[in-house]
Amino acid sequence: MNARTETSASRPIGAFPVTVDAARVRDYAKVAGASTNSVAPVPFAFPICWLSPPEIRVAIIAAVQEDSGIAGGVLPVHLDQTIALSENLRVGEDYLLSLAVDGPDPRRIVQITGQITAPDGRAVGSLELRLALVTCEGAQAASRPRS
Amino acid sequence: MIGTRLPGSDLPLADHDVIAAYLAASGDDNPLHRDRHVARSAGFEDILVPGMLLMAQMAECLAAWPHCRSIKRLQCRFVEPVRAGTPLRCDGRIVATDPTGLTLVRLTAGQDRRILVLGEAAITLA
Repeated sequence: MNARTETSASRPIGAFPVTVDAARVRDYAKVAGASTNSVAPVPFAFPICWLSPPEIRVAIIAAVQEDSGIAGGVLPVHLDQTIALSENLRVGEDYLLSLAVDGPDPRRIVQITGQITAPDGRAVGSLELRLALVTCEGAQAASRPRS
Repeated sequence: MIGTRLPGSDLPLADHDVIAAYLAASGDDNPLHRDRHVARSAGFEDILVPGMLLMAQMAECLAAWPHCRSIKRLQCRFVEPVRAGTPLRCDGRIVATDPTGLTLVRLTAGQDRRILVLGEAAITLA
């Protein structure tokens, strides 16, 4: 089940190994308000965490700024977001997250798509985000990798 | 089942402390969510609640519904930026069944009658 298919204008960002880390799941579930009635042990929206590591974030920002004419740092503001999973994620499992970017368009809106696959190549799910890029103080520093 | 409403519930209040905990758990370090000065320079009154946190809270609200067996897809549209500390209520209603047999649930999160996040989920029923 895909959130939406990539458009013909999508540019690949890369494929990144990701994992469902137990400690991170626990912390994430707590702050997301997960209850004991939850239908899956891994919160449904957990895959969005995989976009946060510096190497992935920097790759996304570089891809967005490439050929876009946007100089300096920008920060993303979510406009909409879709997650689709054909099966529940499993704690401790490794996956591959393949990302692509489309845009930004003249309104500085960019679309990020991600395909989640299991180690055996099985499609597990997808992500799609539409982000508005805003320029503001602090944006330049935020777009640099942390040491 | 079409027309069935989820029991509405208040989302956990996303104040500065909760947002900080979310950023730590998720790894998100967007300064719009942690630095009031940066947020103001971008035209916002206060730091913004991460859309990803709102989506996560809405997903958990749906997942806790006894009739929900599994969530297959969730789309959230962030109608307006949500400032830290804004109390939100989540409501939902079954609106359709899609051609694959999944049940579609319309979700909203808002304050009073003002919708700030509009969502649609595809779920299987218990």
